[in-house]
Formats: sequence, C-alpha cells, structure tokens
Amino acid sequence: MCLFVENLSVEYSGKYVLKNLTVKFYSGFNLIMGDSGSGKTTFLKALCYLLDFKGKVYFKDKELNKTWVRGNCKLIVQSGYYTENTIISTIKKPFELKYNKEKNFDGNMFKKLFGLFGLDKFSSDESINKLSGGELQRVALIRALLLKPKIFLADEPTSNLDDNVSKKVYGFFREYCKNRVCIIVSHDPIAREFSDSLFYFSKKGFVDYG
Amino acid sequence: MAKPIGLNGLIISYLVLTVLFAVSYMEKLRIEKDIFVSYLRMSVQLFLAGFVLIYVFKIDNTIVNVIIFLFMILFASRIVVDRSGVKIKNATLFIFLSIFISSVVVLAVLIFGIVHLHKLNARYFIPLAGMVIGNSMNSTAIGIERFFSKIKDNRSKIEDLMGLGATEEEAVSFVKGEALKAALLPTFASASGMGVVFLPGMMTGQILSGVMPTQAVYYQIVIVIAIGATVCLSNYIMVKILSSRLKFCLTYSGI
Repeated sequence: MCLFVENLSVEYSGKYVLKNLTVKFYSGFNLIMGDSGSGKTTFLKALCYLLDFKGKVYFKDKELNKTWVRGNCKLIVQSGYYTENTIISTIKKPFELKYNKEKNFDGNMFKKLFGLFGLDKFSSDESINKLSGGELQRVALIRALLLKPKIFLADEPTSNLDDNVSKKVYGFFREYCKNRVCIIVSHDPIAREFSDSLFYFSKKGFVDYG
Repeated sequence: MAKPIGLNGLIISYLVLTVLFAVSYMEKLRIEKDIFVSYLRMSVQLFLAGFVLIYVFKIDNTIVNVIIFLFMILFASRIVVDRSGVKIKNATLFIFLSIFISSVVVLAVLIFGIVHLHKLNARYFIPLAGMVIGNSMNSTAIGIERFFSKIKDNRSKIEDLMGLGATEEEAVSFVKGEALKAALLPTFASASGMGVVFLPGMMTGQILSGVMPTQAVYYQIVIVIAIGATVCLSNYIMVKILSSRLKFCLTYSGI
C-alpha cells in the first residue's frame, strides 16, 4: 500500500508554501517533523482536498479525486473541533455524513479507546462543555480513528496531552497504522519512539528521509 | 379619505428632524451628513414614487407592473450587497434570485388566492410587492452578513468537518441554521408586538384613509403572514445557494 505524491505545489496569494514536493508514504506510522512555517499543515490539508493544489496524488497506483478522498481519507485538525452537545453525539456526527454512510459505528472499539485514552471517568452522554482542551482533543482523536480510513492524517494530535496519554495514543497508532497509510505531523519526541518512518520538512520546502 | 397634510404640515414635520441633528451635534456623533442625505433621499424617492404611481395606476399595464416589480427587486438586491459589505462574485444575482423566487410565490397566493384579483392590478400589486420585497431586503442583509461572519469565526470547525468527510454543504449546515435564525428573528419579534406595542404602517394607513379597523385587520394579518413567508423563503434560498457554492465563500472569508 503506497501513497505517492507527485510534484505537489500550494500557493497562497502568489507565494509558494509547498513547491514541487514529491514523496512516497507506505502503510504504517509515517511521522512528519519540521520547522514551523515549513508547510506541514498545508500539506495535510492539500492531501485532504481542503485547499487547492497543483500536482498529483496516487494511492495504490490510482490517481485520487475529491470524492474518493472525502470517503477514504480523514484528517484530525490541530484545534477548533466541531462539537455537538454530548461526547457521544460529537463522536457519532461523522457517521451521518454522506460519504461515511456505509461506515458502521464500532461500539467495542469506542469503549476500548474511551478507556485507553483515560476518558472513562465520563459517561458517554456527558455534556461536551465539561471537557478540558486535552479531553476534547482525545474525543476528536477517537472520532477520527473510529472512521477507519485508508489514509489517516493527524496534525499535532497530542499537542494538549501529557506524556503518559501521548504514549498511549502513539502506541495505539502503531497497531492501527499497520494496514493503512498514516501521516502524523508532530513535534512530540514521544512520537518518534513509535513511528515507522520519519520525514523532515524544512523551510526550504524539501523532504529529508530519516 | 384622510385629511390632507399640505405643504405647511410637511415643513413642520421637517422641523422635527432638528431633534436628530441636535442629538448628533451634542453627542459629537458626526452623523449630521448621513442624517441629511438619508432624509433627503427618502423625500426625493417618495415624491418620485408618488408621481410615478399616479401614471402607473392610470396605465395599469401588466408588463409595466412586472418591469417595476423587477426593478424594485434589483434595487433591493443592490442595497443588500452594499449594506452587508459582501464582496463575492454574482452576489447581486444570488440575492435577486432569492427575493424574486420567494416573492413571486407568496404574491401569487396573496393576489390571486386571497385578494381574488384576476390580473396584476397595479393599485394592489405594487404596494403589496413593495412591503414583501422591503422586508426581504432587510432580513437577507442580516442573513448574508451573519452567514459570512459565522463562516469566518468557525473556519476551523468547518475544516474539521470536511477533514472527517463532510461535503461543503454539510460542513456549513450549522452556520446556515444560525444565519437563518438571525435573519428571521426580527420578523417574528415584530409580529408578536403588533396590535399592542404598535399599529403596523399598512393598517394605520388604511384606518387613516377611512377603512373600518376590523377590515384593516384582515389585510394586516394577511400581509404579516405573507412577509413572514417571503422573508423565510428568500433567506432559505439564499443560504442554500451560498452553501452549495462554499468554495468561493471560503475564499471570500479569507480561508
């Protein structure tokens, strides 16, 4: 399983944030680290068709289009999550969306993650307003993981979590990413311990393999 | 018939305007010029309307009436675009379509179904259309402004939903609801104050010109409901069009 990005460029008002980026990701936990402002978030958003880009992206040698990506590629944004009134309604929201209609909510996996990420002090129908920033980030993580996409993208998924929980999250990613392409952007040194491969984005816009 | 006011009455009325100038001057609001322009514009427009209406009522030709109707909507759409500060392409067209479709539907029921006219009689059609379009104009200005400001405020939530697989339309559906609510609320609030807090303009006008208050009430209720329906429909159509074209909406709001 391979995600091949060919000559990807993103331009904001005449300035290139990413220019002619060519890179291959295989199934597993791919970690992207790098300078701030080097275009890591932009890269994830482009893969998810949240912004316009030039270039081509192939998955298993087939060129991707927006419709396929909406159903099979999921992104956890860095902050500012969409929420509903309760934890469970927030987590189930994506299953109401047109492109996720065929996906089934996996109750067992939900219970497992809810406990693993240390949220089990709450009942699942607790009001979302009672959660702290870190707890909300874990809810957002569970929500995206339950969708079991072929391509899983996360932007600083542990930025509000302590080391103990971060270890559990990245430990879970390691297993979870075995049969999908995961691309995780993180500054967290703990992520390095669990990742299968490392990519480095520098301000000059190229990728180093480490 | 109502007792004519005459030129003297009008002059006294303009003198009352000094209240606005005085407050603006004393409180250093610096809106004297705006006050002057607004009321001058209102007076010129109304005098012109008065003269035009004499001829329109005399000719009473369906084609002329429809042209006036289209002109009123175009004028209203321009005002909405100016007032809301929206800078997207074709904004006037979208608002024009929203007000046009909704007012045609509601006015058709009103004129042929309720007042039972057999043609677009100018004496009924123009004033009724004016009330319906005017209210749509005020509410769509609120609706469109709210739609874009909410998109701007909730940019990351919208991206979050799209990252989880939402289409553009699904991702802004919560914004759509809030914009609709904001646009509709003043209309409901005004409806619930009628009769106790104030007598609406149309009913006042009919009573002043000698119509029995009980009869004026019928007309007023019908028009208030017509306004509610048009306001609701025009905003609904507008946010539908805008959210199906979210891509440029996002570009507009700086995403």
